[in-house]
Amino acid sequence: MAKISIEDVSFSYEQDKKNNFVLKDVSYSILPGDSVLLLGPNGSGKTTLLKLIMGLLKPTKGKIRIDDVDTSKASVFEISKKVSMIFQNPEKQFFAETVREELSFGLKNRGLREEEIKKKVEEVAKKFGLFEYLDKSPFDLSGGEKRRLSIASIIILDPEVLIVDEPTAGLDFQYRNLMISIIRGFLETRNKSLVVATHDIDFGLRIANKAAVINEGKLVWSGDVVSLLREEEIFSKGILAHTFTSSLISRVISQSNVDFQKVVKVLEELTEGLM
Amino acid sequence: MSTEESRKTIIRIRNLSFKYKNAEKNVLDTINFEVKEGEFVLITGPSGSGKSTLARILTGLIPNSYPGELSGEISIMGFDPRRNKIYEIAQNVGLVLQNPENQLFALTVEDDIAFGPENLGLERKEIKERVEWSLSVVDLQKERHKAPFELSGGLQQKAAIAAVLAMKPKILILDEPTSYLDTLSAIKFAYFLNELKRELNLTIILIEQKIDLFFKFLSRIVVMNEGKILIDDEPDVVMNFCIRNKIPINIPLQLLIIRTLGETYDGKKLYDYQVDDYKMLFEKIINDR
Repeated sequence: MAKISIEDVSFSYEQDKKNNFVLKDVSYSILPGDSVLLLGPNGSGKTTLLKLIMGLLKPTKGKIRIDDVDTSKASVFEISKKVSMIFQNPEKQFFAETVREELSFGLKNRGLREEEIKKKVEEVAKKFGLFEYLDKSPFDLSGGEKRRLSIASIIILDPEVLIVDEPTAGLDFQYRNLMISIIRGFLETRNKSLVVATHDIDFGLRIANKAAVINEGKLVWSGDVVSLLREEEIFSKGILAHTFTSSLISRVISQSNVDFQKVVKVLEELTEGLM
Repeated sequence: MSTEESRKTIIRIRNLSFKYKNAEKNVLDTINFEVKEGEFVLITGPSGSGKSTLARILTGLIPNSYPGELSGEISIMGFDPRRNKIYEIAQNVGLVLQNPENQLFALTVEDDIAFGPENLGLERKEIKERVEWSLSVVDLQKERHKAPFELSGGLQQKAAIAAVLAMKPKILILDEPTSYLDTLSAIKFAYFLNELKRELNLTIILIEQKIDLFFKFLSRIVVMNEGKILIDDEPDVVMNFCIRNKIPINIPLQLLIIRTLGETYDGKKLYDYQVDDYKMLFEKIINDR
């Protein structure tokens, strides 16, 4: 398990023009077992925050610590032992010649034994429906298979913290559901944590227990998901917008006091009637 | 008869099949599809079902930019992409992509909009008029000197549409334009698109997974699967078909609630119900379990 502390972090892409901050004085902690929904309008700074956590960017002010390690002093390799990120359009990042090599890469880097790697790769490939493609080139896969491979290559590393950027953009009904079951599977192990930046609040409500809202680079709200749904101001100010589904959930849990998990379950049964 | 009946057919496709070069099988398999002037048609279906390929044919990118085997009859306002050049078709059919970043490349919004008309070799005055007109239609006058990458996702998508509108198309094709938009921008975009359609008398073909955002504006929904058209009909008929046959697409929750309670509905009423009406219905479902 790992704890991430974001302490008074500001960030500017232009190092010399420090008044042009993309993130301003953000403080937040992600604890083991947290599944955090990072919400906010286009351009609010969500992806920048994720990159800071991964150590791909260094804070202009403040610091981020993963357990005791300051990310601006650690290498990306060191950070990636605990935290892994699935980017937007991850399928653009394949480099290996076969699906097997693509899946083995991270494990080899960690110095695992050959047999152990083979066993893990085949196990994960089966789970993601990629077993029959192990010796094919990643580039010969269909769009949906590529997406599965890219996620499998992260999940196989078994990170303590999984970070995902807009996982459902452009996904159809079935892959969106697949993504939910993959993330739930990951969270089943005790003390794993998740940070997911998304516009898809309906998707987020099915996997998250916490939420953090960023607007114009500032953290404007944080708390648990149920409180977010009872929150009116964030929505009335236009920082976030309800979908039909989220407004329905919000009304049912705040006006009629029905348990949130139960509402989500019944909603899923309604859509699963289709499958 | 209704006006729908008397409208002119502007796209007619018969027995269309297409196979990308080096591919093993057809991505489109004997498709029949028609669009009448002024319609707002939504095309949905799983990824890989052939939706984007169909858009590429309707804009002449296939076979002009993507080689392959194309057979069947095609008439897009009288054009056939096998005989006509992309620029001829582009003056009638505009294409807006999923990610506006792939479509915008100039240093300012204004330059991006001027690019298409400039390539048509139009006179300076005409180009200037079209740029002004496009900017005003999408309400981006204030952003004209900004770089496209400085704009928010919603405004970028509007800039991409303005660049397409400057070609004065009759038909607008949009390939999952809301994928990268936040919820509020996506809702606004749906209303904006419907307004645009009415004001400019456009015909719209929209490829989209988020059916509920656009449902009330649509003339028809087309569901594709594995290169074929599963159903092509009025929105209510299509939704009933998909629920009955368990077709995995995003059915609006409103419909699922009504259907679960076994109540009949008519599509017009669907959006007259308020969230609180649905709340009552939904609580009934919860209590029944």
